[in-house]
Amino acid sequence: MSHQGLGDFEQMVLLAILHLRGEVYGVPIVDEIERRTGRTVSRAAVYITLRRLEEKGLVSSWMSDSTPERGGKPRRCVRVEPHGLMLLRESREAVNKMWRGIGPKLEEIR
Amino acid sequence: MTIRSEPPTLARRLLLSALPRDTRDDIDGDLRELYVRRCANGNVTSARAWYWRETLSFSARFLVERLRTRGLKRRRVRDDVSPARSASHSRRGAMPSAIDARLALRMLVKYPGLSFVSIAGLSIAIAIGVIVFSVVAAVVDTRLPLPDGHRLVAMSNAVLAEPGQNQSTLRDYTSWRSALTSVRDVSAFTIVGRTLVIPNASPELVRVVRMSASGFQLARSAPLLGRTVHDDDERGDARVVVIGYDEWQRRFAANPDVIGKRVRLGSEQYTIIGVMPNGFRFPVNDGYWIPLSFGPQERARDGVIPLTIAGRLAGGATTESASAQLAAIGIRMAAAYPDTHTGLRPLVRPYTRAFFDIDNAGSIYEAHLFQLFIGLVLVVVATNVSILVYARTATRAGEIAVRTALGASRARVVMQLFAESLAMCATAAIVGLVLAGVVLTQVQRAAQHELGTLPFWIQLRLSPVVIGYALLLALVGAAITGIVPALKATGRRVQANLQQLSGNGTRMQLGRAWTTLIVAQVAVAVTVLPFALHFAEEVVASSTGNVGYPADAFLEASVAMESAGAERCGWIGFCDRSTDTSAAEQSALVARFRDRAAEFVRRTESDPAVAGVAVHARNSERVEIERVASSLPDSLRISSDIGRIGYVGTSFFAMYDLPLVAGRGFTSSDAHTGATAVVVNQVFARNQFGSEPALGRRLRFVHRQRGVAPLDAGPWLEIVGVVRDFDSDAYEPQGRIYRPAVAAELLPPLDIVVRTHTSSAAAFAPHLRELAAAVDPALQLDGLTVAAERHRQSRQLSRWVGFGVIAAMVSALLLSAAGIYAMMSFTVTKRRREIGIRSALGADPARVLRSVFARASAQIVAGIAVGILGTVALDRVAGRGPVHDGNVLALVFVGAMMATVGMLAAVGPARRGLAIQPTEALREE
Repeated sequence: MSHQGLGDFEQMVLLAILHLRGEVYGVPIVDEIERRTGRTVSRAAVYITLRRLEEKGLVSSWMSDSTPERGGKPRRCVRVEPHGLMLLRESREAVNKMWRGIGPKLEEIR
Repeated sequence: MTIRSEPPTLARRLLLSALPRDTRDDIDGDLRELYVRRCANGNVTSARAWYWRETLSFSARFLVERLRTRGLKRRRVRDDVSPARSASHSRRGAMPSAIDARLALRMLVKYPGLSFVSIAGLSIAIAIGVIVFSVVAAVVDTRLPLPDGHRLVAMSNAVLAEPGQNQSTLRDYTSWRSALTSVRDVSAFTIVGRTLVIPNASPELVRVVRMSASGFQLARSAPLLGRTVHDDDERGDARVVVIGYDEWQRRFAANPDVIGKRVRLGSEQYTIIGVMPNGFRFPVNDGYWIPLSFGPQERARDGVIPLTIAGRLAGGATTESASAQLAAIGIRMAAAYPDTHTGLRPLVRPYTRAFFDIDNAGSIYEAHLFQLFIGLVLVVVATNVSILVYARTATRAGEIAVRTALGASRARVVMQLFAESLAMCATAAIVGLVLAGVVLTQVQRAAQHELGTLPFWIQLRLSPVVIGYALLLALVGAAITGIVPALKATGRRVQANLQQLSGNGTRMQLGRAWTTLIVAQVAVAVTVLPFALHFAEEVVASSTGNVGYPADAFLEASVAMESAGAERCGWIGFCDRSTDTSAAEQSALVARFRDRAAEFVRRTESDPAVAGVAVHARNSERVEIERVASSLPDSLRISSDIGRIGYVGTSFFAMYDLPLVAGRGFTSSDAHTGATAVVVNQVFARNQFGSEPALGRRLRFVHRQRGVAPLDAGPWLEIVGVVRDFDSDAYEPQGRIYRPAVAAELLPPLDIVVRTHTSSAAAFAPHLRELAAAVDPALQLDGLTVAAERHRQSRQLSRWVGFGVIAAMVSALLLSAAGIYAMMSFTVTKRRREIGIRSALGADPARVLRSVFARASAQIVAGIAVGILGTVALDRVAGRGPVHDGNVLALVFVGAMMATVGMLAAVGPARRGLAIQPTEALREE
């Protein structure tokens, strides 16, 4: 069965989930991406990506308990599924292959 | 310390409505958590602003996501259900899809400047189109909101000797009612003014319809309370009245026991017999109905008593068949009554058309032609926008080339570009509809004020048909702004662009056509915009000018008397009932009017709250008038304009605090028949006599008939005074001649002006009505209003017109500026590599810049020159305009603005060109 590869942003979201410990949900994921990349990301884009990843079966989610500071609303916690880990590995390998031998050329261009 | 941790309610509602149900709670919780954290940092305002930003971002992104998933789902279902259908879909792949819609929305957000300018221009054009469409539709529509309303017709006789003149009389009504078979429920009505007097309320002049009993059958409406007028009431001349729902609510406090109560309408007492249901305003916009009865004396003059006659087409009959039958009756009537019915052509028209006096297909055709002409505004704006879109499309030539290479058909690419324009035009249509809705409400209000009343079937609002029309305009706009640039961009050059992809992105070759476009764009802007600017300036000046007197302290009204004849007549105004009475009765009525009016003025003057009263009979002469100056050549005649002659009381000038510049004002010795003194204003003196003194000059009025040789030259009159310029109607004073009002010669209606001691005359108005009713209940005060209020209302209309022109002008200016900016910027961007290479080869940057600006300036200067020639030509043709009126500033402003925009557009790309690394420039090459 053929499958589609991961987009840049999808990779970033999956990697942020893997970096985090404890209850992983939207708020810390956005913080983690911004902290590591030094870029501001659209919060809405992260949530939409999470939905798409879940639709593709790359992450799974469950609801945690609600807290008063959230107005009694639960958190949607996520974790990366084995299929997601596999695609991440494939993406890394593909990128590594593409980078192989590029270093000297980059220096040359500079 | 407690911190208010509730996010903005409206934003949260919006957010919840935009999010899918399955993820609503967790995102809401996450955002609230972050909001609380931000509030805890101390800055609640910035937290709220952040929350709003996030809400808008989430709403927009989830909207696009929803469109995407819907599109995907639909495609999956189609593919699953029928492979054959799926194949046909790929053939029809050119049709817009959800992805196109998503891309289109993205493009709107990605180019905010272009989107703003285009949507602003298109929305105003669409708003103008929609407003004109609504007004024209309201005027030409033949449907009436009554049962079987489209079959109601009005009947009259066209006077063949006077085109456009229609008449119908009591004699016609009697004859048509008995002889016509193709028209049922033949009814007649006439509208009169009556002073309504009810206990514990100020007397008020109201419209009263004298309507035949069959009128209620024609409208097919049952009363809410009591009964309507019966034939017996008509025959017995019963003093009964049916009142409308609004009147019942407003004046009788919705009293269910109102039936049987007595009210005074003018000089007669009437008994209320019924209340009509809410919304019933037949025949025009009415609230009081009394029987249409005539005595034996009136019946003897049935050929001259005017009535409006209406009926319903019988089953199977058409306006044509009814006209034919009416024509046959007309021939018989002409034979029987040659004195009144010769030279008449009976006319059957849809009821609503008769109201606006539309009697042929030509007028309707003209109305639609006007509509089409206004529609052209959209075409002009859309063409302008299409230039902008083309400039953007040109920068996306690479993307188009790649898509073509990947197998997208030309139609597919065109359709995507069309979808982008459609999104823009649909947004503009929504904005345009909102604008049009606001303006239509104002137009309805202004028309109501100008005409006194509007017929009950005229409702200027955004009906489904109007909304449909706006969508049609959006489609036309999208076709112009989307398809034309798309066809151009996907033409034969796509292959060439693809070949260039490896080099430097892609670029379209625009050459001479582009230069022509820039020059044309500047020229059109410089030609048209000064006119709009000039016009807007005039409108603003007229709507903000000072009226020159304390208008708040002045009450104005027109004094008339029942049956003594009135100027206004027709469906909207009250009808002249002087023909209902014999000549002897009429002269007795006029004598009574003079007596009562004089008594009313005397009593008003003696009221302690009143500072002065002046009579002012405007337009009282019904013949054309012109003036010849005795001491000047015979050829010096002012064009006839009866509005320029005012018949004023002796206290008129004093009351308005008008000083005499020369000579004297009127005294009581001038106010008699045969007096020869006249006073003129400064504008008249200056226009007619220049720097020479006007005092002692003589003039006379020459009454003429229909432009033939002068007849009945009046006596020579002498100018005894020159008064300061003043005009209570116009802000720019016209030339005026004042003559003394002679009480014994005045005819109703008579305009009176009352100046009160208080700064607000409004409080005195009810008392003035009481004074008039006390003198004689038949005395009528029509249009009683504070002068300041009249000025405010008339300015309101000009202000709206002014705003409309300014909005249209600003959007046109923005469009032109954006067009020029886009084109200039694109041209210079094209030369970026050239600039880079030249500077790499050691060229002096100043010299490079000079060459760039020389070309840009040449194009702009050429455009401005052509534009100025255009303005001068347009000015000559129109006979007025910025050049003619010496308003060159408007021309300079627009020219300077276009030049600045053009130059600014060249600066950015030129600067970037100079900053380019020589190696980069060479590699690109």
